[in-house]
Amino acid sequence: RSTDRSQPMDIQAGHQSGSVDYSQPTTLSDGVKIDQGTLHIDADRAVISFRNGEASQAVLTGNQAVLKQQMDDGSPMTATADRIDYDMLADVVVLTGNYTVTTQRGSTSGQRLTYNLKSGQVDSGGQDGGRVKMRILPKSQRTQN
Amino acid sequence: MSGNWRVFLTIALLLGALVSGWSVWRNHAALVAPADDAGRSDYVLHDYEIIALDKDGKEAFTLLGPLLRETPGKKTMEMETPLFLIPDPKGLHWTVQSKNGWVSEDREHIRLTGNVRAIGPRNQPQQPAKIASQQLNVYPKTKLATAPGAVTITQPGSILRGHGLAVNLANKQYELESQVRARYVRSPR
Repeated sequence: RSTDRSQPMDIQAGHQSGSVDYSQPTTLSDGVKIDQGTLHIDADRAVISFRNGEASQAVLTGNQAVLKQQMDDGSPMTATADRIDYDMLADVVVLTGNYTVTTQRGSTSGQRLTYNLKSGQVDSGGQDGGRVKMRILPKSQRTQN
Repeated sequence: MSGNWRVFLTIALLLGALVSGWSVWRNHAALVAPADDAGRSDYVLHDYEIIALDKDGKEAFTLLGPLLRETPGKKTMEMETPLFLIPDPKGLHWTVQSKNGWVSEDREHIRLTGNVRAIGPRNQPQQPAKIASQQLNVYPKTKLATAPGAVTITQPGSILRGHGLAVNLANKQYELESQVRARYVRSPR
């Protein structure tokens, strides 16, 4: 949801390290869970960069990293990929490496997809993102899950 | 990942002040048993207040408490409910207190145990930063600090919990070994 960004963010991890002055990224590992409103992220590892003391970018990797969120219309969206780059200042998520995005309307998969959390805009393929596979479910088969 | 992540900067500033202040005090304090002292050097201080000055004559830290003594027969130091007052760069004071304090013979290891509480300067508009654990080790010479068990660090905009904190003030690296739980609250944009 677009309101997620204003919610508290809860993070769990098995290990955390970094630099006390945030000149270098913070690394979370050994099972990372991030929750913020309806946004839920599961990954093996997260590397978080900072600007002016605030987290500005997170690179999440896993086998695979999973990002779940409720759309503003209440329907669920699940994205999985080998790597998820989350630009917190621009509210843009880039999925790379065997991504799959599943929503009520169907699913799309490929090697690179950009998803704007604010506008809901999705761009896939291009920039050698490779071929995109998309499955759009007929209205009758769309389940409210 | 909004919210105030400056948690470890807070810790480093506090520990840095304690480490540098202690190093200066260690070199000058009459309470430090000379290395080659052949005889006994027992002392007991009741309701003491020690103001350690840095090389510029400014307060490095203040140490108060009901009892400070050299361990009989050893050159280690023991303190009951020590209270450290440590000035931050603006001259506002952190308080660091615990049930017990112990200092090694070479004065290069300070160990605080039992309800260790570090609380940031209070006359700030927001809530002061707080660090809580059951043990805090500070090693001035190597500029290391560790909190082996559970540690909780709270400050406006964030709460961070974990187990096994280690901070290296020399290379500015920190580590939380396990069970990391954090909550960050976005500061208004």
